[in-house]
Amino acid sequence: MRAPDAAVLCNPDHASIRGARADILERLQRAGSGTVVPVSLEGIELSASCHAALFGPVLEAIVRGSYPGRFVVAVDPGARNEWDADAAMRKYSETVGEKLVCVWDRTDRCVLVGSVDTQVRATYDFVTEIWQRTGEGATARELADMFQLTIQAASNRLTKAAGLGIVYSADVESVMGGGRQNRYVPVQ
Amino acid sequence: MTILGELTPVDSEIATAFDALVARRGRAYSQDLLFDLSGVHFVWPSGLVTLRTLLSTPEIWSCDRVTLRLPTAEGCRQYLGVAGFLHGLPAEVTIDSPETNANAGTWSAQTLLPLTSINTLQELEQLAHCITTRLDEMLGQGQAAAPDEPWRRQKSAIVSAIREMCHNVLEHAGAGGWIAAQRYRAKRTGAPFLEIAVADAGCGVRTSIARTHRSLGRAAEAAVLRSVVEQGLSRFGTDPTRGNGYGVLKRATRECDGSFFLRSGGGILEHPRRGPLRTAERSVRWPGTYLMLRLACR
Repeated sequence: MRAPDAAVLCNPDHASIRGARADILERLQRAGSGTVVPVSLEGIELSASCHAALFGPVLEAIVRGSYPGRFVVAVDPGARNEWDADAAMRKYSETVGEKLVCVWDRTDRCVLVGSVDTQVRATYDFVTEIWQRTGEGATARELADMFQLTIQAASNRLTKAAGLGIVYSADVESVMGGGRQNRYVPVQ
Repeated sequence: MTILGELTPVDSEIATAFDALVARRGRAYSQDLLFDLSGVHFVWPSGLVTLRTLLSTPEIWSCDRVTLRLPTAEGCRQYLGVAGFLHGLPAEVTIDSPETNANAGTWSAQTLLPLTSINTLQELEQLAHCITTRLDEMLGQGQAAAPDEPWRRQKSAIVSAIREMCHNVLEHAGAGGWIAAQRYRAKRTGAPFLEIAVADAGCGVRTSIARTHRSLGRAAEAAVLRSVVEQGLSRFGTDPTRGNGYGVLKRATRECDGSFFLRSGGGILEHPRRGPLRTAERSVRWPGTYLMLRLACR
């Protein structure tokens, strides 16, 4: 996002916000499956309303399946925007009746902002940990073993996280005894 | 109008004095109005912004001139000067400075934000940019140091709350306003906290919200405040990008173990540190809105 003259933006109707939102949506439209579109917030602070105006419609479109296999990550060095974005996304989620979550790259680590519950956060953290440790995606079997779930419950959690746009199925492989399983990697 | 003790609109005695002033509007016109602060021994930001709003709103005086008698406590008078209260008063306001009294206030304080006017978005954006730097300066966190996570979240909460409080004035009041903020240490526990206060002489919450929620235009103002704060109602209707203001304030009070007090017209709402929201209705309508927020800090 291009910062206007001010380093702080409080007006959600500002041309920069509208322009940045349109730019993100256009990039998602043009991108191929498996693409992560970064949204840089370096050098700028947005109010909660500005975050809602910028990210709300984008995340809503992703959750509703408008851009299958395509994702966004906010890049926020120093996490100057994380608190406001989290407040804004939670409020936005309540208003539109959809859980909206965004991966937030703070430079020191990636976190989730928005309508995140404990299960979703734990799933994302697990997938991230496996990927960072092994370089491979996590399976439902591995998630089930970790949290003592049934395969079905674990699979549901991964599918839910994928629907939120925070993990994606990067690989499908055969399993011993027949069948196939997805390997999920974190959106980062 | 005589104010004693602590200059804040929240204390019941002070609120009564303000109510008497506001009720005076429309009565027989007099030549002079005296704001007697000589007995004030402590000034809160909430007192600064509300009194300044009243002094900057000649239409409510019912007179030609106002005399502002300053506190005899020297510390208090010095603070009014340092806080910017005495700058830019309307020409109709005359300052009466009594003999000095060397007794200073018993609180130690740091100024996060002197009395500052909020009239444009550009002013607000500049203010928000400065607040973060000022917080780091005041609380000993150098810019080069990586902030620890709890302080980073507290700072974000404080800055966001200030931003939303000011933005509410610009977006909804239909008039400019004032903000001030100070850091204190609680007398009993020594725990540091911030008081942040904004005030405006605008149209009030009910008039603003009734532009899109028409049924609220006929409701009691205290009930309107409750609906706005609890439900996040906005005059922008169902636009999901709006209505974040009071949600951010509530979230900031949770983050920083705080509370806030809101008055608009005849409606009063208290969001305490513990327990449920409380509202009250007063027969005298305050000309505008004021909001006082207290947050724990380092």
